Amino acid sequence: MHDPAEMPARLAAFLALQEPDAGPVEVVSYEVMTGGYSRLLARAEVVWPQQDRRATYVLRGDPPADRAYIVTDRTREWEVLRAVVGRVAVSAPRYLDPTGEHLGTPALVIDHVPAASLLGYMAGRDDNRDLIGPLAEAAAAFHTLRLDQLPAALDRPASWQEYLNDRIDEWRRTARDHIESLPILRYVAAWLDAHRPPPVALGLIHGDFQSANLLRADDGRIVVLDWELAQIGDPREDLGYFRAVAQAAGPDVIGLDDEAFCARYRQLTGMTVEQLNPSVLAYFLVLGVVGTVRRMLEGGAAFARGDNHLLSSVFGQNSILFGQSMWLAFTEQLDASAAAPEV
Amino acid sequence: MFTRPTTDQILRAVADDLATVVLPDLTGEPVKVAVQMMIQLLAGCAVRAAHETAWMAEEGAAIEAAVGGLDDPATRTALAAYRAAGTDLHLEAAAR
Repeated sequence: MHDPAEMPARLAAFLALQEPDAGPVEVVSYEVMTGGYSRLLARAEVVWPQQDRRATYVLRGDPPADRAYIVTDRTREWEVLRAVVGRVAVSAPRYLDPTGEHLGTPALVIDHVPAASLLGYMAGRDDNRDLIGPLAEAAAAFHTLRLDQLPAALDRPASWQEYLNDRIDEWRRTARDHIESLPILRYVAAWLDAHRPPPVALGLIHGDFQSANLLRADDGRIVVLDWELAQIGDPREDLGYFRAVAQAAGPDVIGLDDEAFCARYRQLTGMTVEQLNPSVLAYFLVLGVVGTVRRMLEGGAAFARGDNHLLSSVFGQNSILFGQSMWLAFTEQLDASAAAPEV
Repeated sequence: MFTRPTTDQILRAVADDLATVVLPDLTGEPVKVAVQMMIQLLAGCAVRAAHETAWMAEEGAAIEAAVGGLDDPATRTALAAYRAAGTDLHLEAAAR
């Protein structure tokens, strides 16, 4: 995938190996796609003339090492996709080149979904509150998978308490590992420690659940893309993360009516009001971004040391600045609401 | 040395030209996104260039005032090292 000119031939040879009984295969078009920040994306039209069959696929592969913003595993993403397909609307996984032997880099071949970008869809409308239900349904669909339905490769935390301890400690580890002192990271960790919500069952979390990774299908369902950061954790993290990203790049569908979102999500997952309400969502808005914060700070530090030269690494520092004001605003708001007398 | 135009003025001018002269002529989406990122980064650098050494000095003074009265050996050692470093405002020294 690093050399698009050679990809039609490579892809045709790869597909012929995957389906040796399907006859000759032709890749009639191969087009590099935009929008994938961490992985290379391309769309290919494929024809099997003997079978009068045609397909449109998306290839999702690793960039060259010095252009990699984050390192994730295509085989793991493949296994997660295989676990969720049929439960939640996704680009169905078709083929995997785990080593890059055939496609030049480890890559997935997945179905192209003819659906609109959710961000684009929302931008053309005055009121997006009708998306609250479908968004809750999309999240609940994979959040309610049982742990035994998930790939063995995903780490299983021993308990919710251990998981949350580790997530909070990630803020402290990030502070310790960063190239310079950022006391707000330790402040956030202390605040999260002191305001723990009630526990819930651990489940699959997407890890990058944001509007940019969602499509809206013609039937109204939300299609969830980019599963490379999926892991087992507290499902409410995805919801908080969604809100956090939407503060910078709205609209914030959940925030349009967070009570209604929580009610629908509770109905689908069986969570109680104590386990999920707007205040708990705000807690996870802060907690849920730690992975992104860590990756952005690591990227910025690598740039400062001269280990990478990615514009996106520097650009991420702008998001950290925005995040700092957001964390302070939400923690102060929650403290104020907790201190206010009930009317 | 030159003080006019200031560094922040120059950075803003480059960002403005990228936005009004270069960007409209671009057609490839990845290139457009990259240039938009550059414009935002330059705008941020313009703000930093105008203030960041002063901000660092102010923050250093505030921290010194806050911890100066603490009776803690590690803090005293760190504070002594900080004071021994002097008031060099060159970025490499000020950022330490």
